[in-house]
Amino acid sequence: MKSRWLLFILVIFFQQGFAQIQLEEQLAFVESLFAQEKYFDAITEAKRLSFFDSSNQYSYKVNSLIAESYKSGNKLSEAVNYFTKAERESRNPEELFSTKIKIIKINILRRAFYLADHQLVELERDTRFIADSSSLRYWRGWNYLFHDDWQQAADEFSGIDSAAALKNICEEVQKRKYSVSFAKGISAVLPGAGQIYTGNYLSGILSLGWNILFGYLTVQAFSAERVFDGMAVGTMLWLRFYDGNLSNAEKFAVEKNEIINNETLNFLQKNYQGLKP
Amino acid sequence: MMQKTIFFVLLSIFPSLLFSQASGLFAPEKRKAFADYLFCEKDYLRASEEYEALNNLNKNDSLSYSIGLCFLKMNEYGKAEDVFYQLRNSTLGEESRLLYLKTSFLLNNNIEEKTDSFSNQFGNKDLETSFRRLDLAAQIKAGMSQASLHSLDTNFEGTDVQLLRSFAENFSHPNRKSPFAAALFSAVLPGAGKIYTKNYGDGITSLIVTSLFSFLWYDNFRAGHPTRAWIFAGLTGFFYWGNVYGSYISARNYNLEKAEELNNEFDSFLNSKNYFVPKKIEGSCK
Repeated sequence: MKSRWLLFILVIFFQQGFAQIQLEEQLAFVESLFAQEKYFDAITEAKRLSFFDSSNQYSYKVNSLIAESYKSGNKLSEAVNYFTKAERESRNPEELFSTKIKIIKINILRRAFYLADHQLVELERDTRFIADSSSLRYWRGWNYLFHDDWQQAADEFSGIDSAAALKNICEEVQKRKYSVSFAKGISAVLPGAGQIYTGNYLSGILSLGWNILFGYLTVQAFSAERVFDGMAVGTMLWLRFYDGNLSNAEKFAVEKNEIINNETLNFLQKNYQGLKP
Repeated sequence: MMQKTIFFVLLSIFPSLLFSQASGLFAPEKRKAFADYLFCEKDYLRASEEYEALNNLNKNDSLSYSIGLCFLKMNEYGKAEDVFYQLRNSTLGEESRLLYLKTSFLLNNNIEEKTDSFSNQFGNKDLETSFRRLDLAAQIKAGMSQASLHSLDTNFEGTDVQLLRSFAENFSHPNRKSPFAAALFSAVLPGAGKIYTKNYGDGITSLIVTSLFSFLWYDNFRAGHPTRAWIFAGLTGFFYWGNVYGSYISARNYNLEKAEELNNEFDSFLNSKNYFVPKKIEGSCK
């Protein structure tokens, strides 16, 4: 009777063992697909593993892998969803911190500045992560960088030794950027000057020409005591070109700054060797 | 005794091994459960791949039907239409025929001819009702005749009937504006064409601006200021022809907007009612 019980227990034990082996093999399969950059298949197989993992023992790992795969495929919202699931399944403060940082990195990438900032503040307030303050500062710097606040980013990177190169790049960008208010201001004084300041010489000269022509016609009409003509030319032509000159000065400065931002972000994405979102 | 024990141990392990092989994560019944889970999670692309893999192993109408549903949910109407057409005479023939017609309706693909060829092919009362409603919806979109309007009363219920009658009226007599009439009105009186297309703000602005520049053109010539007169003449011409062309475009945009509005309203009404979706689709996920 005893030996039959023993056999029964053995059978159960082997079945459990084989099920466990299958799940481990599946996890290895998912990891190999991920390593080969086959993200679509990695997600499918990870979801399969998650479906059959009734005890949720691989939950953290699987959800993290699905999230990383979605992120690599530029599906950032789905990636955040799965990192949030992984966060709920994290088993210790290290896993929790690492997952929260991954979520923050995605929010930085999708330029959700205030959300990422709020999440960084929450982590700073959490007493379990006091030792990680320099890491939080580093990611806050990146958040400012993606928010087009290069000076603030340089300030955040300034206290971190490993981020000295990033600090220099941010300061360099800050110097290269055009001042939008200066461009508008000089165009208000001399039409076309703002466009010339941002390197759009033809537009600047044309703007100056139109303003001189219609300004002259307006003044001439008023001098000839044709007030109605003067008002019509002044409001419908001169003012329109003057206003357009201000708008253009602002638009060109903003566009040039965007080009500088994007060039720098592309450069960092391709060449920066340190941690990045 | 020893031999007997070893025999029993092997006998116990062997089925266990066999069981483990048959119950691997890729065993058909587990794969089907996983595909159903993906479908309910709205991951239709992966669900369709799983159903297809199973269908390749063992061709089955139910799996093909599920693949068609995945395509339908992914708005891949062309592929869904093909799948449901293939299944029109299968064990799931009635549901497939209805979904085939629904996808054709969504694709605007010869739906009237198809509904004619599928009439009297539904034994199930609910599906027959859905079919008749789909047929009527297609007729409404194509511009239903007055004679057919009474069929709405017998096939739809409550306030829907009134609403569908108004849709039928709008589709058969769309509220259109003639672009040529709009251009002509604006050529006679600047801005009139835009007012005709209910673009009141632009119409009044066109009238004021063109009149003002015309007056300044005339007045400057009369007062002997030819330079300014020519500038105002140029501006008058520019605004006048701009107003004529703008009225033509305004009427075209008005017609497009109204048609799109009507189509969107009708589609949202049909979607909100879910008239043509067999219960099997919506009821399979908890």
